Amino acid sequence: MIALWTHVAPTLLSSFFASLVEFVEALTVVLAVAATRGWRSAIIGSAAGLSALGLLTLAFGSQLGRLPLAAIQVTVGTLIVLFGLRWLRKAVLRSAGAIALHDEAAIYAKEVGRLAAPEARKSAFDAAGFATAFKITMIEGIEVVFIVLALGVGDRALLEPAILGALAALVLVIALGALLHRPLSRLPENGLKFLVGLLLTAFGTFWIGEGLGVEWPDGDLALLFLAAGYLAAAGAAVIAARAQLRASPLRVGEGGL
Amino acid sequence: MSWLRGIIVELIGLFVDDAAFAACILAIVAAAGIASRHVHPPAHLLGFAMFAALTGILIGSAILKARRTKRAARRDY
Repeated sequence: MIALWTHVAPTLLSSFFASLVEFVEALTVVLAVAATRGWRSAIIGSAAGLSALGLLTLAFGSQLGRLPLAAIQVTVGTLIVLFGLRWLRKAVLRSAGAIALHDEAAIYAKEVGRLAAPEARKSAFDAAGFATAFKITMIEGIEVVFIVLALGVGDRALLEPAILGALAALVLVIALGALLHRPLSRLPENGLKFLVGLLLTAFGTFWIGEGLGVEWPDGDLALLFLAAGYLAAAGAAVIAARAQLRASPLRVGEGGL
Repeated sequence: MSWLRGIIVELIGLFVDDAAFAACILAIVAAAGIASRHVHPPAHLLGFAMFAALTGILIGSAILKARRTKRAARRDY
């Protein structure tokens, strides 16, 4: 039961929320392609991107099993910490007001403007629409595959909940996209990034420690303590960054991810 | 091939946003690796030290970025 709450549930939730953020970003651009170039190029481009992604995953996934577990734990743990702390830092800076919030509506409008430009008009084969949908599906999909692998390879039993979480996010985003036909700009993206960054960083630190032979106090429960510690540190970082900005006459925005 | 370059750049961007921040994280992990092999600190202490260093990097980096933003805002003002 403890294993369920300290490993499986955080893995499933981390995978679900992290994948949700990535799929929403992909959906925004795919919807922009559909609105300007038609659904055909958007769907074919996305399907091609997903197929290429599936092949890449099979190729790399089969190689992972050949490496020693400690090496995988340290390598993947380091990548998760890099990824998770990057998200956490960005969420902290956005919460403090040091950089601008991610705006799906603005990204959608920008993509629509770019794809509707005269030089990007339709030809017999809509290469611009296909390439845009393909590229965004590949990029965001690779991020999701990485998240799933990162959460699952440290302990193979966690791969299934990680895959389940990502699939649930994919189904939810496709369903919402099909229903709404517009970008999901109301998603509390910064809050999700804060939460996922926190969980991923805790997981990454835990795996690195396991790979280096650290004896975590209370075993798996250390994951919860690590997450609580990072939450406290992130809260302190928001307060400290706000204090730095307080005397500022202006705040300069910065682009999204 | 520009789309392939775009994908590679995005992939690197997955892990590296601020180069100095990423370098500090890698340095901490490397130091932990070296310590575990050559210094042999108490096993639980190594984990705590790594966690403390990573949280320090997060707080320090956020303060530095806020300070830079403030300076840039003053300059533009």
